[in-house]
Amino acid sequence: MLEEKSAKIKKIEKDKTLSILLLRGPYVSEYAEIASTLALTARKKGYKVNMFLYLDGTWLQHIKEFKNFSNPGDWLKRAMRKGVTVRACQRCSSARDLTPDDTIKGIEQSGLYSFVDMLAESDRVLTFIG
Amino acid sequence: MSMMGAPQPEGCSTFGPIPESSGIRAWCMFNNLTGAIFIKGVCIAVPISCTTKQGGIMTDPGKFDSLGIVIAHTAAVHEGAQQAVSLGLEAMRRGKRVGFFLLSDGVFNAIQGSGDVATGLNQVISDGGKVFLSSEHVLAAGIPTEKLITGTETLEKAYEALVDLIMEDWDRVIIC
Repeated sequence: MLEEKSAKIKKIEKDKTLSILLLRGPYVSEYAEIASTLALTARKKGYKVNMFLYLDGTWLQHIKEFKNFSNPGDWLKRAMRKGVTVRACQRCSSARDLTPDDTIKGIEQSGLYSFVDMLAESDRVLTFIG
Repeated sequence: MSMMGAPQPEGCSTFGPIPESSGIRAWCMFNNLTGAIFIKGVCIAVPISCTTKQGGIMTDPGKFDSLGIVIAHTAAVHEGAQQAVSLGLEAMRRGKRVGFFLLSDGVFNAIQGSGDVATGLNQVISDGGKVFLSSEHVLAAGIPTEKLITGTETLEKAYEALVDLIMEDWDRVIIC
């Protein structure tokens, strides 16, 4: 039974990687929501998905508490539960006084070199800027 | 100056070295924002403001056949939508296959006669390009179907369709 389930999961995994760079904060535009929704949808379709939160994009990790309305933080958490890797720029977070206690658990604080690693393995990169 | 064989794009304020082991050829910063990113000589990400400054991403060393442009804003919010349409038309003139995907407030650009962006999208369709719309966002925006530019394709399950286009159909994707 377990082998069957494992084989099924393997079958839907696709050998392509999508990386998403988010530079805009939530609510100022719909970019954070669009980026998170795309990440979740791509992951559900079996692609490997990375997200890197940069500059004001780091504010997205701050929406950590439950809300009884649709919100980009919830989309991000759902994406992470499905296996999307999310990293945030440590310097950008620090500059905004975003501490680990303020942010969604499971997001690695790292530098731009870590984003370069993401790029190196990506088939497609989406940049949400402007 | 060039870095590991990649040309420095015009307007580049920083053209930083990246460890060769990463596979990245160059990292370019435009106005201190993330700019063109080259992997193995192929430009994989360019913000719209840079692409227009460069006169189109076709000046970059990467080769590609198709270009996808996602528009999530109206022309009234900023110039991105207008620049994206100009870029798409230029790419088509250079023989590239171009598709637009309008979602969120971007769907307002698909109202017939609503301005320069709508005129440009009409031209895209006339020249053989594709313009897709998110059905959910068209509905949320309250746009009657008969007001949409003729030839646009309204898609249910827009995000699923968009992921398919990004991962399997388009070689390069720009979000604006």
